[in-house]
Amino acid sequence: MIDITKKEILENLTTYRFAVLTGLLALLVLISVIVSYGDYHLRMENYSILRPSADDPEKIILPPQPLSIFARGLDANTGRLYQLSALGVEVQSSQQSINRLFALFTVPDMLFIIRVMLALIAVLFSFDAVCGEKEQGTLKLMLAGHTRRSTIILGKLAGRYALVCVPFAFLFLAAATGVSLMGDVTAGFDYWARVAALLCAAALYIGAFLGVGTLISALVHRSPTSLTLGLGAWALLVFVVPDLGTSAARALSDVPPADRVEMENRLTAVRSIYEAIQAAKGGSRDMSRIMFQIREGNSQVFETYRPRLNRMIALSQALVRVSPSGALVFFVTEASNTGLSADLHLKDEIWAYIDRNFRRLAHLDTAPPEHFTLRTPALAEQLAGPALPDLIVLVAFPFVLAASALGAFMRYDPR
Amino acid sequence: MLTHIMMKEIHDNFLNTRFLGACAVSLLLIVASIAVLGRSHEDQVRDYQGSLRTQEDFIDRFAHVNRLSWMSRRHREPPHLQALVAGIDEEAQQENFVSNPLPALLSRMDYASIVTIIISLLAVLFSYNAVCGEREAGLLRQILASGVPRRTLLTGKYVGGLASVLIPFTISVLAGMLVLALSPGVQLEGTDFAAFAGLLALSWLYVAVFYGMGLFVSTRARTSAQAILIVLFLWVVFVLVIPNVSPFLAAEIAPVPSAAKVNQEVFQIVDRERDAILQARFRAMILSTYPDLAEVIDLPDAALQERFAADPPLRERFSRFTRERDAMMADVNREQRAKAEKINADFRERSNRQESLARAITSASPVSDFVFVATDLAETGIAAEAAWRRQLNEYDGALGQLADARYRRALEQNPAFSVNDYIDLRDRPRFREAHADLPARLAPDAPQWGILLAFNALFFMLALAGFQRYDVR
Repeated sequence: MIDITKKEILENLTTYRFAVLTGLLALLVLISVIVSYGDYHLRMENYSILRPSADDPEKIILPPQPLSIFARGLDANTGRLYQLSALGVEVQSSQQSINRLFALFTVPDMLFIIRVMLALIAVLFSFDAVCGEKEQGTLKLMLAGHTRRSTIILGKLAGRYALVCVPFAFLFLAAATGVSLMGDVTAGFDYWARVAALLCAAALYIGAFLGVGTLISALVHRSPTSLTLGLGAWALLVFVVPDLGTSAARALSDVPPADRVEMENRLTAVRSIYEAIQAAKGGSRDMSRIMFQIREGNSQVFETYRPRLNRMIALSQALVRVSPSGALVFFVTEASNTGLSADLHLKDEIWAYIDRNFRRLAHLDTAPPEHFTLRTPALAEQLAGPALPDLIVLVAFPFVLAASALGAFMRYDPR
Repeated sequence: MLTHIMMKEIHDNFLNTRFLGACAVSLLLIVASIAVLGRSHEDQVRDYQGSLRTQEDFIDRFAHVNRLSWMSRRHREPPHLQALVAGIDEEAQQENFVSNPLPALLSRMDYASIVTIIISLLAVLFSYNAVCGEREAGLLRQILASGVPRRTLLTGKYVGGLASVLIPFTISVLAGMLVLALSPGVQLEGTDFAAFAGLLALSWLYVAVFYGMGLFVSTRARTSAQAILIVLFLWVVFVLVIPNVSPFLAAEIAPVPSAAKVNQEVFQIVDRERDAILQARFRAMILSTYPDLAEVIDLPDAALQERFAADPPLRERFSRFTRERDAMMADVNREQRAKAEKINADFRERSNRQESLARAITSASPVSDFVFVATDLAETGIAAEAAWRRQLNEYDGALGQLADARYRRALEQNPAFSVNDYIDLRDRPRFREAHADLPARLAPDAPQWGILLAFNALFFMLALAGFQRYDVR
């Protein structure tokens, strides 16, 4: 098997295909890291300007996550400035770029490269694994030489896997090292542990798409057919399933749009204040009663809205995880601390903080402010918690697909 | 002869299972995406109408000057063709505390993204071996031996091949549009169908670029294996790299200071710096012109009144001083505001420059050209959003003025009338978004149409030139 792996590597290493694809990958990684770091740097600058002083507990802002350079995820949203008051939370938009082009296109971060490009490269490196060899006539010769079929296919998989994985691992680690040397990135144990998690996810993901390509290759007899089917599977798994799954979950769910919820809260507040002022004409107003009334209304809306939102997110995740690409997006953003749970957790904590500090926020008493703190969960907690289903999907796919490819090859007609 | 070759191409394709599979996939995808997004659109329209009703009722019943701007923050009416071209995703902007985070993580699959990614991929997959594949099969020598001019052969292949991609594609799109038009909650008007026709023409032009690109590569490659690699490389660069990298690249080349920094500077100028200047000038004024008032100005009001009663010329002099001081303060305020406005204007100008640069870089990719034109046609893009915001600002200004006038009239009749008291605004004009007509929507995108046409011409000419010198052995 070692011989076959070695042969696969040597055979492909000198090809045009390897040179072009690896060159393209290197260029993309370089561009991606430069632009993503620039974006991170700008957000860091914003953060250092907007960071409230200790005596201003009505503003909350989180620093950008260093791993957002590789998986931007929700970091630009989570890292906004939240202005708290008794009436609710105002999200400041002054950090957002007014260049609207950003809203039309996708962010070219490392996650995008892994999700789209590496999957494509893996398919392009595997579509001819079996049928290409058959077309050249070498498959018959190999099988005639007493090599077991399982040895051949596993050797092929291992060789081609190394060809995709090793250059990427090298590029990614170089990028991570480069980023870690930047002044505004704190690169401690946590940083490198998360980088390692990202790398493992990428390795599993490459395995999944290599498995797809090899499986198709062992099911058909001509390499153009194999390529077409492979690219079709790539487009389906990378774009169609995740995006259509998200669209479908949004269409199926009954979650009211956020701006409507926000408007209802606002109108409730205005009405309560208005009615209280009108009722107390001439007399003194009981501000605390109004404030509590508003808060109660807001909490009611929030508490019926949030479970529905959570259900919708769970539904989307279930639909999207059918594809390794969807699982990758969730896993990598969770491991980078820029994912759904980071965003939702922050919002829950802010809501609870307002509850605890409501009297002070409503200027009803002058208790010393409580300092808002948010504990960033350790990587292990995330892997065992919100990222676990995605990890299982990512691990399962390559093994199931490799086993299927093996099964298909066992019955392959090499003539 | 030309029609013969064309028909042969179309015939060949339609008998090919690979081709039929691709057609079935495109039909399924387009119809499914339009059905799903159409359903979302219906929900959005219902939500929009509900919100609008709630809001207008609220203003009818509770309008008062003090919190009018809180009551009239509006949402945009969902554009009719949103189910085809999703454009800028409002939910993904995460403007509210309760926003759903998912849309910022994963995008939606709309017709536009199916065309830009899936259909363009199909187009290159069906053209990359049009020439080199026939050479490998040995067919090319035979055809050329029968006296067909090379130009005719290639043109026939181009037209026939393109037609066999576009015909099933068009059928799929029309089927999708039918699904949308028949949805009960979707109201389409005449302009929407015209915009849809524009969108279809745009899609043809876009798909033709990629078909031409595949054909061109096919005439430059000896084997299909080589051709597919080059074609996919170009496809990746055009479809996945340029559009997504350009805005960030432009941000690197033409950096814009962070908005927070600009706000901080502006605050510094109109607040801290202004206070310092005021204090300095105030002191200078006292020292140079009114040294006699230095001991009076800090007196409490009651003591001041006593002094005035005892000394009438002092009162005269003091009021001259206050007039002069107020004029000085207004001057300083004006100067500082002008300074701040300069910084703001500079920020806006730099942002605009960055955006135009990004637009210029990204226009090198047919995908971006497609996205710009498609979002403008469907009114889901940058221009439509900006126009809506402008109209809304105007409307809010007018509504504020109306409320102010009513308030002042009420105040004349009843001096105790307050900003928290109800004013009747039931006869106010209602906001209606004015939509640009189709030519006006299309006009700014003329360069994009031009670039797509130029790409088509370029690839076709290159393919023609390449095929003239092609070694058919």
